[in-house]
Amino acid sequence: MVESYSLFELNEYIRRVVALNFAEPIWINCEIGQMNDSSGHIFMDLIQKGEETDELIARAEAVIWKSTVQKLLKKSLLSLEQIIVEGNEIRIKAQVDFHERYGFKLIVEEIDAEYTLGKWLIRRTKVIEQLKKEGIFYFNSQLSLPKVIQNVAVISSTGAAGLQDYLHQIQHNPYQYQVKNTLFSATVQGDKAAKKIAERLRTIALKEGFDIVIIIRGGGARLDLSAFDEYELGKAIAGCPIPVITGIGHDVDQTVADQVAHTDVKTPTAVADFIIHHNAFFESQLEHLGNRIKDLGNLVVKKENILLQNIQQKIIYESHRKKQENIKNIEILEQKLKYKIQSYFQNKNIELEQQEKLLETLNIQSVLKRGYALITQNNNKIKSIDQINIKDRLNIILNDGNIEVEVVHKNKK
Amino acid sequence: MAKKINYESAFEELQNILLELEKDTISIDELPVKIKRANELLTFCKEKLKNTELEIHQLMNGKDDEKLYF
Repeated sequence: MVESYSLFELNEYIRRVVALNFAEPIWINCEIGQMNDSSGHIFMDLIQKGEETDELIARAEAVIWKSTVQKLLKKSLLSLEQIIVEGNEIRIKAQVDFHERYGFKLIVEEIDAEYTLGKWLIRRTKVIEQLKKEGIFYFNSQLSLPKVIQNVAVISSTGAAGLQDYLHQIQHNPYQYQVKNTLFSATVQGDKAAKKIAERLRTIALKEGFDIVIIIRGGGARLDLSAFDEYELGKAIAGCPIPVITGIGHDVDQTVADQVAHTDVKTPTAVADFIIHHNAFFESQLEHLGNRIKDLGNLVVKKENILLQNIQQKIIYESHRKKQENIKNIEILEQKLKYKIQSYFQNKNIELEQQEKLLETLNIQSVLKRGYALITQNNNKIKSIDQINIKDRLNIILNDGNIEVEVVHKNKK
Repeated sequence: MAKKINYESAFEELQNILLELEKDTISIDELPVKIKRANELLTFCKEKLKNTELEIHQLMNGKDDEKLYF
């Protein structure tokens, strides 16, 4: 009879072999097939897929005990939550362990975060290059946003806190803008997410009336952004004829989706703010326009008023001036008239005097004709003896001539 | 369907009115018409921002309480 091992003996033997060959923990590259946590420990199904095909060629169970989890959580760079995600490629330092009862297990002691990050970045870079090569990488970024965003297509999972945050922020905006939101639900994590979101995008693209599409997800226990680095989703966003805004809470670098989208912001709340500010900017432009129009309108009216006033002034001035002119003319006429009248009377007076003189002369002639004589001395009429002295030369004017005599004798009456 | 008045076209029309004012090509007779139109457009936009259900035909029919800026 051939000797047979008991199961325990077999397993114990295997355990010793394993322990002997793997005394120290070793570094292993692998992929996370499945994972779940319970009681603070993380249990994983690690896998390796074939180079060419996606066929499974290796598999092993692994565990991160709670104490190790605590220790790893303290490290930064990439949070544990981002690394231990189904589908991620990781590099772990693990103790190979075989237990008689519990079988083969890898006990994780350390995780090389950079490896995962590196793989991530490589995959992301590849996708980006592919999209750039196809010439569609910048398509969505180059779309112009409408002046006002009022009709939003929302892609988010219904239960997500992010959705509530967004809705609350947008419905309670201080400017009281009305924004209509239509929800297109989709899972936002896991391996089906990319496909589902892409599907939603295509559906939305066919509908009319949406101003933008937003893809939002809030924080949560696990930050699984791997869906947003996938080619299919990147392509769907790039090909979307409506601007896409992402608010998926990326922590480190932007995902492919973030980079391909028109705009990416950090959180769903930030998306709401983005929309509000966009509309507020438009409103301020309106205000500015309105004020400019008002000011210029006023200016036109002012100018007209000034023109009218000018004309009015001119009319007043001219009529006043004309009035003054007329008054002046009348005064001048008045003066002239006075003067003419004065002259007239002066002339008449002179005439009169001349007439008087003439009359007087005529009078004298008739007296002289009657035999009387006029006596003058130095052209003065002699009217009295007192004016004459003896030996004076006198002129005697007769009717038909005059004689000069000398006084010989005088005799007062 | 009548030509749709939306933010874009309203904004463009407002800019045109402003341009005309800046170039001083509006006569004093035309001015109140333009100003009234500008007011209509501004009111329409501002109200639509706060109320997505605003019907377009309200703009066409004119509103009762027109606010003049002067």
